[in-house]
Amino acid sequence: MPSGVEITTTIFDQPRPMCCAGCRAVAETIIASGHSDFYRHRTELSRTANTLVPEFLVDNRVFDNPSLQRRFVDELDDSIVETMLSIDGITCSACGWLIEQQLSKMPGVSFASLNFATHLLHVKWHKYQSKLSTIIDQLASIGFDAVPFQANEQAARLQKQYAVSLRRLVVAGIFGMQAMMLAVAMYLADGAMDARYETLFRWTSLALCIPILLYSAAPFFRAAANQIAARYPGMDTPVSVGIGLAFSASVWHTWQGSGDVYFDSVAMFTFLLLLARHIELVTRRKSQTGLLNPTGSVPEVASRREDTDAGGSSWQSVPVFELCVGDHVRVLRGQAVPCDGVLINASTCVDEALLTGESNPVVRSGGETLLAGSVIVGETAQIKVSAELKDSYLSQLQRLLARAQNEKPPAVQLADRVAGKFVFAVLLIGAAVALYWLHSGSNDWLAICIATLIVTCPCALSLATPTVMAAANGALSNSGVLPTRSRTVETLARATHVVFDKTGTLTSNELQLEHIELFNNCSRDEALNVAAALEQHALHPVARTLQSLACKQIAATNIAVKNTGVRGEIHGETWCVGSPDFVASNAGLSWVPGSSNSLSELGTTKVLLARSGVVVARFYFSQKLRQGSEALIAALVHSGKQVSILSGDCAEAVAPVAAELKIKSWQSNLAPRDKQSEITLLQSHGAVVAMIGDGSNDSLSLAAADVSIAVGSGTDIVRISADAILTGDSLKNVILAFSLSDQARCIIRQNIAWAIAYNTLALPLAAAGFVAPWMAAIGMSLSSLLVVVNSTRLLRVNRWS
Amino acid sequence: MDILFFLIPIAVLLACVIVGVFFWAVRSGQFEDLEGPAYRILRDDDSNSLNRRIEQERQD
Repeated sequence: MPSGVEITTTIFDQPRPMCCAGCRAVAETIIASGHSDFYRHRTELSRTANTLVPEFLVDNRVFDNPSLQRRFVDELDDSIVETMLSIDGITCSACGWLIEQQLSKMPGVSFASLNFATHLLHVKWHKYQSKLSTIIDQLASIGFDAVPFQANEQAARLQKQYAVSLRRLVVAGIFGMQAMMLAVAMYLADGAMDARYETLFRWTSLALCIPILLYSAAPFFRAAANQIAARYPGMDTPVSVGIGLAFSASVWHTWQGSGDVYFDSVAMFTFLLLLARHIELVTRRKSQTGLLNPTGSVPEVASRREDTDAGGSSWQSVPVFELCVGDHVRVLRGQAVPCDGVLINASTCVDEALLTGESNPVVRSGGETLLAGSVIVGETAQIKVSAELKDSYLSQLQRLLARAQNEKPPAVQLADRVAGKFVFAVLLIGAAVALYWLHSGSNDWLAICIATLIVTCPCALSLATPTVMAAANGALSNSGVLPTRSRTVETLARATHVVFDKTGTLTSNELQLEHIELFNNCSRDEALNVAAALEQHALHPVARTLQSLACKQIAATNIAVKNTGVRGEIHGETWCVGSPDFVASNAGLSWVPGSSNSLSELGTTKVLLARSGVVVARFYFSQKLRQGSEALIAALVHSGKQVSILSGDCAEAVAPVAAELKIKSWQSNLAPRDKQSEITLLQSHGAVVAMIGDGSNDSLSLAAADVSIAVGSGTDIVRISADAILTGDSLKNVILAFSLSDQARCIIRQNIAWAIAYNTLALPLAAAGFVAPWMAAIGMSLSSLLVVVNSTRLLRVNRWS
Repeated sequence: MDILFFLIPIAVLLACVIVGVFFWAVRSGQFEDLEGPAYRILRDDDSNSLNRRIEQERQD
């Protein structure tokens, strides 16, 4: 013990000296969690301060630093904060259960949810009652390393996991092949082999199996130990018991020189199981592209202009997270924009594929905003930062996506529950089978028990759904439809009715002024200027078009904005602009011009302008269909979904759009509340409704639908609470979203059906003694492998389209 | 058949060598990106290619 240090901890009612605060904390954690037996049973002294403290405690305390926390901790309100932790060492859903249980017991932690697919833990805690370092320590005490989720660390971690998994797999593969080669010879000889060769073969197999057991199968044993310590067996438990039993029995029989050996089964089982997990890891890694890809979307370092004392300026490289609003930043051709900013130079060309799924570059001129994550393909751009990276559009999209990935979809929750119970059953059945065959005097009781344990492990059941979900969410976000909820994929697939808003959804948000009719000596300029002045506070597309057409600013007073029109006063005269009905009822019209037939047939929106009860102008606006809407409707109808339009516009405006898109069911003149009740009505008849709408005025109906996709333009879209967001302009991407969801659902169903069918068939066969351990190893591993490979099909679909 | 007493240990030794070589390959990053290189040769823009870098270094 160092001199002058007096730190003690009470272990077994006796104060024991500790060398530092770090060791005391470790000891106290172990005692507090009821594991003080560790000190009674430990055979080696624990690591001491030199190695333990820097890794285990000091580093974690850094995470409590408020300025560092700003980078990854969000404040929900005055006292509750949340963050994402990236967890290492998770092998199955039971680990997730253990972590969630352990954390929810902690004082101050209000929420903990672990995602099996991304290994991200979402925690919320009370700022004054707990600390992030305490939470990380708690996780470490049950065997999991946790690091606050920072984009690059997740990638580095995945990279490390991948390398380790590959090494384990190849060790099992290469030594396993040798062991199998010897096993084939022994099987073929069938006991007729010369005794000295048989001894040689057995001992060689034993030697070959040792690295497989100690290195390749280590994660199974480690996970099983954690699960047993938590009294919650997961799928690693029967696997470990099976492998352990088979290996020990083989070693004993080799030593004795008689009886069966199962070295080949041990090797093959380990290899195939590792192969399934490796493919699952690769799938997860592959789905981390595009927005999900934590690296590469924005650079780490930006070039910022620093004014020198001499009045000049120079470009300095600074970390991106140090950029503040107002900084001048230079982005070279080929680089990604580090944070949202207003373009200072005249124009440049950017590729926004990451954000919108649109692969053609777009031209941005001075004063427009460049978004973080878009790549400059034109001239070098200079921008004035308008939002820090943390608040940028890209980060908001990534946070929404992370939320979607991190929630457990209903299908995964179900699979977790079923698999957890199943493991209990498998262990009980294994014991019962062993007892029965032992009692009936069979020599094969051990082989039958091993086969039963291995063959019925529900790995396929708990591996299947998370892999599909991770792949589906990744594929969706790459195709320009960003899921913000975990249920999105499942519900899109179940949708029977698809309801569209018209303006801003099926038609593009811009209206075009086709024609103006003037009456009563009003000039064209006066009509446009007055209309723009009245509409200056309105948000309707008509208003936006009129605002852009004014050539002179006029002051209007007493403006009253209604859903379908605006009334106001200019120079003491009352003006009305809006739909014909609105103007007729609000202005007390004495005369309405007859409609000119040739124009009314075009399906245009008509807007009247009236001065003191006299109509002075009639505007004709035409609407353009949004890109891809025809293809989307055709695809939806083809796949048997009911398509309808619920629009707030007048019938004359809706009918031609419906006709052009061949939509039979449409309703017009609906207020937002009416749309909501229409959707509720459909749902009461058993329909699963998908609503695709313009976020700004459809929030009620988007919330009422079972699943909703917000369509819009501009960055405000992230504030809408929809289940998915169309980040690009074209509705074509929505087709892909529907077909991907269908495929995901189909694959999940196949996987679960297979897992259940396999287990119900294999269990009685194994218990009855028809299955040798090697058959069990092949059967169970191939079953898991089949399920995982089946899930990866989703990635391939995405690449082809 | 006594040759087996010689051949089998050699096979085991070879397996160990193969595993050793493989570990080296993983550590040197040869398995990190199994798809990128296939597309890389198709790219016209080879500003990032190894050759270009070597050339530049020579000029420097």
